Amino acid sequence: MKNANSLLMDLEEQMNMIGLPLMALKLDELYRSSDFLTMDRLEMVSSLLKPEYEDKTTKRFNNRLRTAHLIGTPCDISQCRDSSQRRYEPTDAPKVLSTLQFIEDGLNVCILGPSDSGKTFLAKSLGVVACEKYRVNYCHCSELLERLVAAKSADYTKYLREIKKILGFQLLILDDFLLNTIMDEGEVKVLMEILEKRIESSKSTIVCSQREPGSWKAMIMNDEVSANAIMKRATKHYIVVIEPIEKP
Amino acid sequence: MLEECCRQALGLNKVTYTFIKNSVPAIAEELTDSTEISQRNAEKNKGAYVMSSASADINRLLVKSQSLVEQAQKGGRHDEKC
Repeated sequence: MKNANSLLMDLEEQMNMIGLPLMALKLDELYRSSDFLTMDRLEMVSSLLKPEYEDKTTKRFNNRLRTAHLIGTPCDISQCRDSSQRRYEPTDAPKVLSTLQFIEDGLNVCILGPSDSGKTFLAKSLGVVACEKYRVNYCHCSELLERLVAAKSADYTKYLREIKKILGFQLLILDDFLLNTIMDEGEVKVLMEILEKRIESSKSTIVCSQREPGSWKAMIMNDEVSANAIMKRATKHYIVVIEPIEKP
Repeated sequence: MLEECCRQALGLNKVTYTFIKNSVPAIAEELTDSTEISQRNAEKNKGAYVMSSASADINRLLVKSQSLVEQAQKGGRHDEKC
């Protein structure tokens, strides 16, 4: 029978071999502590598991931020509240949205406001919080549409793969929604496909726009039918209007 | 349009298949007549069932959003009736 030290070394070696180095370090630390023998068993298991769990969840969070194009984003959802610089309508919308229940329910959010009002800040803040639990993607609407239309005409299989990927995100953030006029009918079709299929599969989409929904028709070359369909889907649930407060 | 693509390729001294191919979408966009597209869409709109302008009214949309916020604060989940 092996002695305690030998067994300890074997355990640490096994933990290192199966990719649990932090657990091995913790075991070593606990073994050498004065209350090792009197420690509650469940508490000991918890102490051993904690560093590995925290490490893995941190890595997963960072990977999700990277995939979402939100890595390094200094956005803090707690800053999204009425202040001397801006007002949110409805007032409690950022707080309610920060619970992420809207993602659980598959609801859409439309954030409106003038340039530099904080639309992207709010959207990215929600995206960062969401990365703890969900797969998220942030992109500029026109860039996404141009890329997909190009893929559709060049390689339909690649296009289908891209669409599948976009539909797979539990939260998709489309920034600068209809900032520029869409003159390509292909882009309108792709946008409709994304919004429609995401709603069908209860996946949430956040759109940020400088234009009120009533003016979206003009940005799609007066294609009223398409504009109606897009507007209906993008504004189906939450609307948040951010009004900057001008200093006297 | 191809004429314009080739002209630009000559001007930049980049007369290659790849350059001309890649410049096609950009030139197409530049040359697209937005008026023509608008008129074409206006024709498409005839006979179409479109929503009234009231449906896009921002105040109406905000009222709906406010009720969703209040429902969420009370702990209720969104219940969408089909």
